[in-house]
Amino acid sequence: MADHGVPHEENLTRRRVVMRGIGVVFGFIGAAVVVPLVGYFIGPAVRGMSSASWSPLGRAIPPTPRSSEPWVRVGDLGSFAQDMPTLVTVRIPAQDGLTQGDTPVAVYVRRTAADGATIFDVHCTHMGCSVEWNPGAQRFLCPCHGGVFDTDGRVLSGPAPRPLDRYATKVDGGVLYVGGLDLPGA
Amino acid sequence: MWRRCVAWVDERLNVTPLWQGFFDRKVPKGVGWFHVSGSVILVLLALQFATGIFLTVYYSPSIEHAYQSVEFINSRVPFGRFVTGLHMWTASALVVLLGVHMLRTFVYGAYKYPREATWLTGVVLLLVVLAFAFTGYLLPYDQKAYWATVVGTNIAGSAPFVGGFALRVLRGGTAIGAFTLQRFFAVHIWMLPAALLLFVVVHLFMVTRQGVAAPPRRTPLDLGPDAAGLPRREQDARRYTMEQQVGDPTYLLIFKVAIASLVLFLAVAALAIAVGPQFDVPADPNSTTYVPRPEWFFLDFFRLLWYLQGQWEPVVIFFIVLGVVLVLVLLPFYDRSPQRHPLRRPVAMACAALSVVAVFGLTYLGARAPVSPTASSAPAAGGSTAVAGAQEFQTQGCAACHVIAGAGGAVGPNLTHIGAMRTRAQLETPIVRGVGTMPGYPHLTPAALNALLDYLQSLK
Repeated sequence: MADHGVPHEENLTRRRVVMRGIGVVFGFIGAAVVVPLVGYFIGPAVRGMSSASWSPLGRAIPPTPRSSEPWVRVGDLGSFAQDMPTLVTVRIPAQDGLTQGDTPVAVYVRRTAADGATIFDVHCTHMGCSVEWNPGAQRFLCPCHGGVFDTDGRVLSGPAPRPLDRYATKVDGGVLYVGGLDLPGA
Repeated sequence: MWRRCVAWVDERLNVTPLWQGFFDRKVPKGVGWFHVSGSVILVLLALQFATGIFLTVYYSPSIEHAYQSVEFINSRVPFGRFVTGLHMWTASALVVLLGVHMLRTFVYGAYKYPREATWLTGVVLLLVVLAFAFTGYLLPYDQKAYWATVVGTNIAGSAPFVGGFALRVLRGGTAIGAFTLQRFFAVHIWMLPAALLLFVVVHLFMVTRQGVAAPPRRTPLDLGPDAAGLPRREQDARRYTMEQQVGDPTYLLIFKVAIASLVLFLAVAALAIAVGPQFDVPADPNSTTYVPRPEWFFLDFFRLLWYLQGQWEPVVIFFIVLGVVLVLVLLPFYDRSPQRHPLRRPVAMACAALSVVAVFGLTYLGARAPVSPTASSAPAAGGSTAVAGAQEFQTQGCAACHVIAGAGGAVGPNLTHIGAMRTRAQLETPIVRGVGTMPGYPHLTPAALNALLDYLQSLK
């Protein structure tokens, strides 16, 4: 006579123990797989994170590749006119996923003195759209949400929460070099 | 012949009761055309699965080849343009249908007891479909795709404390590159479909087990003289007996679903053929002249981002997004009144109307007047200084924030008729010193300033 799956009273303790055992076994197999898989997914992504990356204030981070060399040549400082931000494409040695290669990265170079320059990241600090230097207005304009920056990268108008990000610079023998992005935790 | 095949299967598996149990089971009275939205969504999802799976036959998720492979599909693969077009237009149709389904469920109060869990899985499904849209968007790797992903991942980065982590997990690091495309692809074709299938099955199981919710009644159903003292579950069981399975058989509803699906399919197919898939030029991370704009269903959020300013703005964005999700998720828990009829829920209906107006309004505003620092202004009517002034208007980048004759960015006031609205002196001060969020231009030469003022005064 078929039982149609109704639990028998005399086997309830055994039933409870065995059901729990099934849960434990499959739970263990699940955890043993899920934990490595999560590490697999986020591993390469979180390389290079510091305590500054967990800042209470969220922010936009420029999406450009980070150089594997500390300093990269930009060009002769003398070739840049004073106080005129110029869009320059620098070839940066960087790792992109599986491959290591030279990636072109655009930056704004503003020569500030005979022996110094500021190098701005091109991305608006609001949501990351590229800002365009408007020489007539002497302003950087962001086409996305109305951001306006002055020649020092300071925010004049719009929703950007901080001035334009800068790269480290050094001048050696009249040649301008670009270094790392000056943004803690990024 | 067909009957013989069915009989052969039935003899071994006894599936006729299952078939009849579904198709011949009656739905409540009044369930009809207003109840097809969910099933039509299912049909569209099946369409997306089919077109999506076949797109992977030729698509290559690498930075070097993604754009090329999409071009190849659209130009050299038989029906490639149609398949891609269907996939892209069905995605838009899905977002519209989701809004309709959500609104219909809300207005009918179908999220209330005993269907709270169905609503919860529904909200999860909404987020899954939006995640599909976001990840699928990057795959062609054109300009629109790249910049939408820069902005989208930066929005994730705006979350307090965990923003940096979230941004890195999405991008596969801090840079957008090979890892980003690869993981967006993996998420889009495997992880999200798995999540979608799981939650769709659970969602459908719940709808089938409880039956489609009967349309709400103005006056409550009389459950019998002893009903008030009974536990909620008992009362609902009685309601089930009285309301469910008393109307049309399900096959009539499914037929309505079929017709609605056909109409939508023909619309989407027509768009896929006539307009086709829309693509930009290949992604160029170093372009400083491209004007990024999101896809239409994110234009409302895009417009919202203009209004928030200052250092705390990323936090505000995050809490707005979180707030909207929480309002949706917690709905069955803060609205526990058993009243389901729209005319007896004025607050709920007002909130729904407000949300619809806000979404439509912000979407419209987001689509209007594209911002471009190089937008051209209207030719000046006036003397030669007015023409020089128009030039000055361009070179100073004024068009980035002011609209004249329909061109320019709509940040500040529209200046099309400003000559008739302000005196020369009233115009000069804000230009030179700035006002509110408008920066000042103290460096203008007297000649340039005069020309600009002449131009603005000519705009009557």
